[in-house]
Amino acid sequence: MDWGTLQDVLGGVNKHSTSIGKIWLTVLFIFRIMILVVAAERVWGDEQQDFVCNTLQPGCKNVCYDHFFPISHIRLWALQLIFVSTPALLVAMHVAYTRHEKKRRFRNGEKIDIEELKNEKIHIRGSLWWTYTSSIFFRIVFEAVFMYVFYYMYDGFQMPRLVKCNAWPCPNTVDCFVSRPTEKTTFTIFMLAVSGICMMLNLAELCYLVVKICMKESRKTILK
Amino acid sequence: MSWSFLTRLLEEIHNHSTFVGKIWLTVLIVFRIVLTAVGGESIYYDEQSKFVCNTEQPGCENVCYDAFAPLSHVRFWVFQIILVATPSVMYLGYAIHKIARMVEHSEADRRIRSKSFSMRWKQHRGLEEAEEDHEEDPMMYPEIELESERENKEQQAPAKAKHDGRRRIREDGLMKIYVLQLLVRTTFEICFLVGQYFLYGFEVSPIFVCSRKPCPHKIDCFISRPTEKTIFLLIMYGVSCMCLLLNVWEMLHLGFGTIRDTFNNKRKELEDSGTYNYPFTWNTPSAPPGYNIAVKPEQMQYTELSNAKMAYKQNKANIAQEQQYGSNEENIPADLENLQREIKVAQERLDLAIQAYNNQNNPGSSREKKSKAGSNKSSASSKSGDGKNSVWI
Repeated sequence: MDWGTLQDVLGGVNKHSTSIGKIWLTVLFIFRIMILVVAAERVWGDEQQDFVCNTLQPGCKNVCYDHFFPISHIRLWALQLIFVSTPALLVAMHVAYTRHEKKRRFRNGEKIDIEELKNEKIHIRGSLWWTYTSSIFFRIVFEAVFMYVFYYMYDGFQMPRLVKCNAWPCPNTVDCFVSRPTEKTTFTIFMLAVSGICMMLNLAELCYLVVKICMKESRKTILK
Repeated sequence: MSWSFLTRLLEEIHNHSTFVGKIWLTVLIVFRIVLTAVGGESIYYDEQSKFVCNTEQPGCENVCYDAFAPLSHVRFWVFQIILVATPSVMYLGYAIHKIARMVEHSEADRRIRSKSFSMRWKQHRGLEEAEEDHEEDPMMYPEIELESERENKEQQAPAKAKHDGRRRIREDGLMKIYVLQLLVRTTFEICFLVGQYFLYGFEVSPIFVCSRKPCPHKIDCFISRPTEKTIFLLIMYGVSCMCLLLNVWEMLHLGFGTIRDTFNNKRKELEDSGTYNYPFTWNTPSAPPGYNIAVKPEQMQYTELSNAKMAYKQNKANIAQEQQYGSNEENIPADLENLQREIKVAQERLDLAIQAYNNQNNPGSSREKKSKAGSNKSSASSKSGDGKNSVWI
C-alpha cells in the first residue's frame, strides 16, 4: 500500500495547523500508519491460509472465513486512516486557494504584505477558521463511526480463538480456528487506544479554537 | 513507506542532540531498525507456516502457535523502537516550536530596542552632566545601527542554524525538557528489557509442549529455526543494553558538564570583580567644564598614577551625584547599581594602594609635569610656595 502520497500531502498541511494539530499528525504517522505498514500487515498476512477448519468438506473453510471476517481488520484500518486524513485535505485546498487569491491581487497592483506571502504562514481566522474547525469536527465523527463499526462487526475488540460455523455447505457445526488470535487482539487494542488518543487531541484542538475565537470576539466588543 | 519516515525524523533530531545523543541515534538506526527490518524479515517470515505439531487434529497447530508466541519477537521489537524513539520526537517538536518563537520575539525586540536605545542612553548621560554634551551622542547612533544590521543578518538563518551540543541546548533554555525526555527514554528501555526477559527469556527452545483444547492430551510442537532466533534474540538484548548504557552516559555527561560549567563561571566571576565593566566605556575619563575637583592638600606629582588617581576621584564624585539622583530614577537597572557599588569598593582599594605608593615615593622623587592630551584644562600647575592647589580639570 502506497502511503507515501498521503504522507506528502499531509506534510503540507502541517505548516498551517495549530500545535495540537501537529501533534495529531505526528501520532497519526508514527503510531498508526507506520505500525500498520510495518507490523500489522505481517500479522494479518496469513489470515486466510492459516484459518483451519475441522472438516474435509471442500468449500466449507472459504465460506466460514467469509462469514466471520467480511472485511479484514487491515482494510478497515486503512479506510479509517484515509477517511480521517481527508478533512485535512480540505484545509490544504483552502490555504492554496487563499494564497492563489493573494498572488492574483498582488499581481493586480494591490499592496500586500510581501513578508507574509513569502513566509507562507497563514493565520487561522475568518473563513479559514470555519474550514479548519469543520474539518476537525468531521475527523472526530469519522473516528467515532469507525470505532463503532469495529465493535459491531467483530462483537467487541477481542479476536476469538475458536469460531463455530454452520454455514452451507459445512455439515452441522464445524470448529474453525483463527490464526494468531492473541497477537491480533493486542494490535486491535493498541490501534483502538491510539484512535482514542487522536480523538482526544481533536476534541482539545476544537475546544482551543472555539475558546480562542470567543475571547477574540469578547475583546473586540469590549474595545467597541 | 515503512521505516523511512521515522529515520528521516531521527536524522532531524541529530541537530538537536548532544554528542552522546548522536551516538545513541546512530546505534538506534543502524543496529535496531536495520537489524529488525532486515533480520526480522528473513528469519521470521515462515514462523507460523513451519510451526509443526505432532498431531492430525485440525486447529491444534493454530492454538499451540498462539500459546507459544502471543506476541512475535519482531512485533515486540517494532513496538520497542517506536516507543523508545517517541520522547525524542516529542522533544524535537517542542524545540522547533520554542526556537521559532524565540526568533520571532527577538526580531520584535530588536525593532523596539533600536528605537528606544538612543533615548535611554541620553537620559542616563543627562544625570551626570550639567550640560548636555552633544559631541559624544552622535557616535553612538551609527554603532546602534551597525549592530542591528548584523543581528538582522544573523537572524535570517535561524532555521538552518544547528541547535546541538550541551551548551547550545542550555542557552536555548531547553535543558530541562531535554533531561526529561532522556529520563523517559531510559525508563522505556528498562521496561522493555524487563518485558523482553519475562516474555521470551534468553533462549528459543526447539520444542514446545502444548496441551490446549482441541489438542488431545499433550502435543510436541516444533519451532522453525530456533538457533538462529536465539542468536538474534541475544543480539537484540545486547543492543538494548548498549542503548541503555548510552543513555546513562549521556546523563552523566550532562551532569558533569553542568557542574564543570558552573565552576568555570564562578571562577570567571571572581576574576572579573576586580575589573570595571562599565556599560558605557569612556576611553578617556573626562568631565565637562563645571566640575570642581576636590582641593589637593599637597603638591601633586604628575605621574601616570596620579592622573589615574584624579580620574578615579572624579568617578567617585560622579557616582556620588548619580546616587543622589539614583533613587528617583527608574531607568537604572538593578545590576547597574550593583556594578556601581563594586566600582566604589574597587576604587577605595585602589585609593589605598595609591596612597601607599605615594608614601613610598614622595620623599625622594622630583616633580614631573605632564599635561594630558585632549583636555586643555587639566593644567598641572604647581605654584611654588602655595600649599594648596585647586586644580581645574
